[in-house]
Amino acid sequence: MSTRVSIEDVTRIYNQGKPNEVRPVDRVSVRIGGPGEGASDGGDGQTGKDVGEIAVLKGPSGSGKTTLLALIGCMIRPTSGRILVNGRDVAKLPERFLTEVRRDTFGFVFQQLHLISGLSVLENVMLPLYPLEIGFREGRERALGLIEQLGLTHRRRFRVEALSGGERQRVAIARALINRPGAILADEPTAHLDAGLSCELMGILGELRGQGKSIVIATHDPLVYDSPMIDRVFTMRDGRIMDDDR
Amino acid sequence: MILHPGILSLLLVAVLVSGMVLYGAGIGTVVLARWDLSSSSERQLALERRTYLLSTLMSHALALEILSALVFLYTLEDIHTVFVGAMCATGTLNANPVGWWALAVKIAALFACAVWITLNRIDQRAEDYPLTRLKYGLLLVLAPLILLETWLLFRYFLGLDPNVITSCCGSLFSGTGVGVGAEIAGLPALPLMIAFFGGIAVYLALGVFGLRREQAWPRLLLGATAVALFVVSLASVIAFISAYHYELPTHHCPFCLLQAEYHYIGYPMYLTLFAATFYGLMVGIAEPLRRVPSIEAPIATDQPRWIRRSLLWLLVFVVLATWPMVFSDFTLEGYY
Amino acid sequence: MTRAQFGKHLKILEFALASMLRRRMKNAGIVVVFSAVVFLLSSIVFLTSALRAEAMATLEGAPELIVQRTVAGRHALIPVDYAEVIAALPGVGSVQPRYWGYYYDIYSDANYTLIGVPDEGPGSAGQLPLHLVEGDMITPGRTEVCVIGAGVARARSARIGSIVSLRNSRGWMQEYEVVGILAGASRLLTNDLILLPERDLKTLLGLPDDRATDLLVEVYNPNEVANISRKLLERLPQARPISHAEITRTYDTLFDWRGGLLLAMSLGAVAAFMILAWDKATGLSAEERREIGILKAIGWETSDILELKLWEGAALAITAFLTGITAGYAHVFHSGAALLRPVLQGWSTLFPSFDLAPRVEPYELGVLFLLTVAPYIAATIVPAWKAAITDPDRVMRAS
Repeated sequence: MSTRVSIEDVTRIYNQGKPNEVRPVDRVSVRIGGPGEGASDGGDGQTGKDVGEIAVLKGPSGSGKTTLLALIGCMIRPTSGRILVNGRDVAKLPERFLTEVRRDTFGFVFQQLHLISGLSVLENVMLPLYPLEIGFREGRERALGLIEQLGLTHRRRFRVEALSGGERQRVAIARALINRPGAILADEPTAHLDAGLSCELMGILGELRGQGKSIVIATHDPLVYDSPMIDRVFTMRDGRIMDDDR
Repeated sequence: MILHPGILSLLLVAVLVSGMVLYGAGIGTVVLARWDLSSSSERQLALERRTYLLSTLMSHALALEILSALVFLYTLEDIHTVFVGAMCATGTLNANPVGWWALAVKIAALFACAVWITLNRIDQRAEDYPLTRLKYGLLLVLAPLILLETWLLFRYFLGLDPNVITSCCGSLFSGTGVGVGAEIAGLPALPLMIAFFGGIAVYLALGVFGLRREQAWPRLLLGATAVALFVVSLASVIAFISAYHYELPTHHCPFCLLQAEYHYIGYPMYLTLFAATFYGLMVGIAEPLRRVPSIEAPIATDQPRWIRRSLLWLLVFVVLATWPMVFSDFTLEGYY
Repeated sequence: MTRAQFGKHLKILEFALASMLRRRMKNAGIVVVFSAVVFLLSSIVFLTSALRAEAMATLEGAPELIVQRTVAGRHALIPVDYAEVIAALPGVGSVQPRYWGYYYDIYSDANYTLIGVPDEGPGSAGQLPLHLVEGDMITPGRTEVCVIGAGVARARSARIGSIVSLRNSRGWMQEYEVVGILAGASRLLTNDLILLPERDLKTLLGLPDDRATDLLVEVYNPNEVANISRKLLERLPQARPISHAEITRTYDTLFDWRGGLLLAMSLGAVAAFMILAWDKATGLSAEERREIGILKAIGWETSDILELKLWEGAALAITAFLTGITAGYAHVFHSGAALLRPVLQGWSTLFPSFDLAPRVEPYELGVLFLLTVAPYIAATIVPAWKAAITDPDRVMRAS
């Protein structure tokens, strides 16, 4: 089922009240996932068809797109405003519970991939499950399934540092999917990939969209935001959303 | 002062635990003053994160307290040979009567730590952390208790003088002597037996009733009974249970049970009694907190669990305490 | 705790162990230092309690009261006829004279303890719990024979049937045939022992006929020892009664004091170790910081990371604790506490070599745990927490 996140008039301020105060996100409202704008929407996120969507947050570095991505993904709390995840306001949740929402709802793909070297592909993919109440065997089967889907079965025992760039990218995606999230958040996923690998990545994301997942990509790579698979593009500048292109 | 490895370790741990709890109380004071869950400020986030440190400090403090309680008992037992007249831990405690206070405060501190940690666990399961103020308020009571314990422990051990001629358990817990110990030992066995077994029967009944029904009163009563039963059980150990274990009608010491001669039976006995009392007490303490909507559900799931554990541990305690009454030829009948 | 919750802790533990193995070298340092501290403390505790147990074993079976005589504040031979006066006191059972003394042997440069065996045999009241490993005990009526401790046998290369010659009080060499070799539950006392027939001993040491070294007094009711001592002193002012309980207490205090003093001094090492542990736990490498950041980012919660760090600490502490304890055990019971002996022993001049009876009580382990692991835990809680509160979005901001 696709996940809907609605950001309502959200501001995030760092170092509030101090001379070095910054507002990477300033009074932003966006809605991600679910049926398009025009469709009726009760706001509970459970109705509607399972239609995936890829949204892009585009903008120069420092425009606040990474912070907005972190806000959407429940990594940080907003200074003000509301964040509804599948209809539930999480803006004021203590970190303990915010983390629970996050690990039930989102999968993350980072710019640097951030795999843990020294661990095998299988272990890296299973990592997000460790703190969850999911049995080791079940988690392993889930991970092996994903590894197979992404064509890494022959590499599952390899340490991640022994893999090629594209394989590492796919490991990161498998890890993002292991908790069966409704939404995938990707931060500059193509920054370190050549054109061929970038296209491969977009292909995988397209497939996930087809499975009904909501996908949000923060990027300034034209190869991504000009891709035909993108449903919506939000352009950010100085912490504000400029316009809704598509 | 006697330089004994056990004493050194106890004093060291007392200092460590005091430091941990004092630090925790410091955090608690700050949290108490500035806590505002409706705020999204970075300061509030920092406070929330400090509560993790506090929980960790307290759970480790409790673990060390439990371990040090056992080592304390054993040390009392181990060093009695140093004192003229001492035959067991009783003599060691009598050698410097502050020891009795240290022991009493230690027991109170154990219960207080365990209750605090359980309240903390309940609190952390609700998104609005409803018990925050209660918890941190309690911490400001708990910290002085731990400090008092440390102070008493130091006064006790530093004041121990091997040249003191002390009295053994025979004179303290004899039916004919004077003092609290003697009075308990001198209590007529039969009424106390009735109180002990009757109390257990009432407690079991309350427990079963509390498991069946969702009403408040049996659970509140269970908590109160748990404390009363703790006191009655300790008195019963002195008045008649110990005598059955020693097979001597005049031997009433609660500490000789900790000796190797009696297979260290005292340790599991006191531990199970502690666990049974704690869980029962917890049922009663949590009952009024069910009025808070966000923790009603967690408490409702925990209470039956605690009741079952309390009953289980109580049964183990009763079996440990009374098996010689059942299986030994020795009888107190003539002494009722 | 449900099974799923239990499984969760197990998985985090597994990850903790794996990640410690990945950082073997970093952890090896602290484990070595930690083990050394545990080794030091456990050696002290084991040795003290083993020595105490040895001393207690030698006292086992000793009479309730030993009466010596002091002249000018020094131990002097006691007239045998004191025995009649003492035996007349109510509550006193038998009174027996005991003949013993020390002998300095220039060949092996060692002191031996010589004890006379009365004609009734060595099993009578007040004698030591002796066990022959080889040969026979001295039988009544035999002269110029001896039974020797294992240490003496080694020093003199003596076997059953060998001759041991000792210089008597007139300076002549006197020869004794070895008929038995001793071993006791406690080797502390039997090691340097030579048993001779009482008559031979008196001649060898030149003891006057009417004097003994001390008297062993049997008291029917142990609670009466103090009373009897008082009455005895009224009648025999030169006597010095020493009660069994008093000796036990002195030994206890002595061993506790020595061991405690050493331990107290070692607490400095524990304190230094706490600082080191704090420092190590605080100084996370960039690699570790990155890993914790990743874990937080992919959904590990603060308490999960805290648990991870505490598991790591626990694994490290248990490894070091067990290593240290094992090493301490081997040191005390297999190498005879070579490093500590000179400090603790002190009251005796010669122990050619003796093995302590191996014994470890759970209580001692508990004490050692409190002395070493508790400070380690206390020192690492705050650093563990500091690591655990890493911002989950840190890895995103770093990029």
